[in-house]
Amino acid sequence: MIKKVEKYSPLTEATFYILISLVEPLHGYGIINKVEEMTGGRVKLAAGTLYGALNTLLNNGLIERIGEDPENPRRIIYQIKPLGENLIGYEIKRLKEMVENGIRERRNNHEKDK
Amino acid sequence: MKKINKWFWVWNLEEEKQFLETKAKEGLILKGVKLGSYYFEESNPQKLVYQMDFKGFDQKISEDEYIQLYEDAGWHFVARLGSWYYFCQEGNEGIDLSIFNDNSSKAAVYKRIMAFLLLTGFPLYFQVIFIFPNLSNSSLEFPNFHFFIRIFIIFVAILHFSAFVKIYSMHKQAIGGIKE
Repeated sequence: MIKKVEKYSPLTEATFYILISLVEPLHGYGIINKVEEMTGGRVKLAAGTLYGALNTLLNNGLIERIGEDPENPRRIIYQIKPLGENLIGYEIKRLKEMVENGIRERRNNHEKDK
Repeated sequence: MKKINKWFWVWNLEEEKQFLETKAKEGLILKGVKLGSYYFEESNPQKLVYQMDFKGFDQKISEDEYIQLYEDAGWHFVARLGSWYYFCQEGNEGIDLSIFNDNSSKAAVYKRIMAFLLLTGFPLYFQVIFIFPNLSNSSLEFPNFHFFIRIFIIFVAILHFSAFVKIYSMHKQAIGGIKE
């Protein structure tokens, strides 16, 4: 049975970035660094948001824990689950539509002004 | 170690944060918290930013992992009071030192507090609504011991209820507006 992922949409920007960073196994610190790098330093994940998002993603079966960092067992390593992958696909389609609509509407309006 | 007795209600988080930051500027660095008392170590005046988070119960993430997440994000764990965790870091001007990226994760904390209040409030409200009306009247008259117990429980219930209402309105405020 395919679970519906629409009910989790729209994700917040922070949650979206946390989810897409987990296509590879990462712990919290790894997620913070990867998201900061991906966004050129614009999105710095804050601790409370990261904690809340990991909790929610875990509770909804979108990610899973796969182990702990051998150097520091207090760092738990997470990875995305198939349901989470579906959700990313759904969100990418939604966001793409948003961006395309935004660009088209603005362009149409600029052409009218000329 | 210097002990200062001070009381903040759950809806006075911002005042509590300011109190701790002012103390740090005076050279008193927070080391421990108990209900109604704060324990400080005397040191040089420091510019520290404090944040308090309510972890809540029934969470899949352990305390160790939770504190590690905060440390990875640049915070030092200072103290714990029940489900409340106190963190601090040096406050450099111009850097955003919030523990939230968006309003919805801020609102999630208020939801955790409300869930806690509902659970702890249940026996209290049960007393007031179902037990009190059915008690025999004679034991509830003025000089009687039960009279004072009843007044006390009603007082606590009112406080509890107003805490819930205040946190609820803070939650409402957090999710209002167009910012995510």
